[in-house]
Amino acid sequence: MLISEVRYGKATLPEGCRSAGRQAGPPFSVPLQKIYEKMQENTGDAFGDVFCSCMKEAMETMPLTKQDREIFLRFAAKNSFAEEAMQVKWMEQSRDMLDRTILLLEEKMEDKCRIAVGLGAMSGLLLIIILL
Amino acid sequence: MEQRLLQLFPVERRSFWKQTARVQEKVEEIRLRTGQPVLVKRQGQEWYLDDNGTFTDRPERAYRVKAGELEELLQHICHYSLYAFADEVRQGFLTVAGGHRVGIAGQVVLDGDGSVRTIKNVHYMNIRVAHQVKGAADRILPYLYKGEDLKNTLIISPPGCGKTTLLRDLVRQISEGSGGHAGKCVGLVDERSEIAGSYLGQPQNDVGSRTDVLDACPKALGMMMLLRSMAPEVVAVDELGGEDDMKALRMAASCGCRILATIHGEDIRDVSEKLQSGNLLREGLFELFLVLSREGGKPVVKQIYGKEEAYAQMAGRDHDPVGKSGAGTLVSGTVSGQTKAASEIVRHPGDAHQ
Repeated sequence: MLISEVRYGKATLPEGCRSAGRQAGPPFSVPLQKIYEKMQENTGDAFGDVFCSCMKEAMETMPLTKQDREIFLRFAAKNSFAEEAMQVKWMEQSRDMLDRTILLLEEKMEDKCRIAVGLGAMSGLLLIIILL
Repeated sequence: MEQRLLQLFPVERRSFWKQTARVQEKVEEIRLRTGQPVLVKRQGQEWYLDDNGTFTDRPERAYRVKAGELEELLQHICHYSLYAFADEVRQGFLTVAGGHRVGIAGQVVLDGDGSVRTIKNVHYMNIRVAHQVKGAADRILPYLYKGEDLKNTLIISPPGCGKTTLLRDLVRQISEGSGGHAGKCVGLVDERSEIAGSYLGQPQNDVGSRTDVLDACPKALGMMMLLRSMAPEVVAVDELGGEDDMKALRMAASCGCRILATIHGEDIRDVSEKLQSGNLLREGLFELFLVLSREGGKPVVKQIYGKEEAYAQMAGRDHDPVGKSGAGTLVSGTVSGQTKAASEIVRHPGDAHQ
């Protein structure tokens, strides 16, 4: 959503956060809106710092590893680009990294599930043998 | 107001700029150059800032702008979204909240067709602090009216004499209604965002409740757009230049709009060529001419010309080129029979943006 705001609306990153926050459901709607509000206050903090602090707060309740969080916050850590296409590309790269991590986690989860099912069947079998 | 200037800077630099922000009303511009001392123009005088941000006149004590500081400042001014301000960067200036204008210079990147793609490696910045001088046009305004109608007026001024400040206040007062005159709908084409000082399309200066602003729009195009869409009674533009501007002015006038415009020039003869190019001279479009200048460091209205006197002066140039007649012929002008001699110079308090 944020990428679309930048690409089509040429929105600034804080504006993009506001629009994305309006459309996104929990748990992201509140922190995204908060980022916009904080940037509007213009306390002088950089967007990257505000984004990180608000999102870190929101991610505390999520089952994410440190590495996952870093990937998620990666795009905001860099200064913005002079060209919109470059900015979009950078954001897409971050999104792709996140996608890859999700894919990897899903694959790992599938493997784990398979192992769990196999172990369950084997232990069931073992139990039957013992009972007999 | 103080906060507005401070908000230009990232949090790490705010304590440095606090003292400057405190005297913001007296500050005209701030010049930042990488590796060079910070320069602040305050009431016509240049000052350095030391490491604590205190004003000093000793260059050896001056704080020098560090490498990367301007890059960071630009990011902050652009809300950490440089791409969203690509058009402004291309033009070389941005208008920020509070109506302040930030000019930038650095390494220009050109496109294949020779147009500017962007400016990278920004190492120079000029922050022009906005000051709205309400009442700057108080003494001029009565000359602009004939009954309830307005005269097509041209303000002629060299840089730094407050023509934008004067135009801004004229727009405000005409729009609101002043001196017993009813307010009029004013269409303002603000190509360089200097008059209304629009930020995200919203005027930061008071330009009146009946004013519609076309921000960052080329003058000729903007005038035509306003005529079609907003039906203004008065069209106001700053710094007339090309032939297209003149054509658009004629079009606006032929639609029954009154014109309020400014033009760069030392005196009335100086601008006659520009007006000639659009046939405005022959058609006698303008009815009132205000010539601005500076006296004792203060902006003043040096001359006020009525239609006949002004066009006679301009026509005189055709037969008597500059250099032969000299400026001595321009010591006075008349407006509706009232002679405004050089000794009766009308002062106006405008002293800010040009």
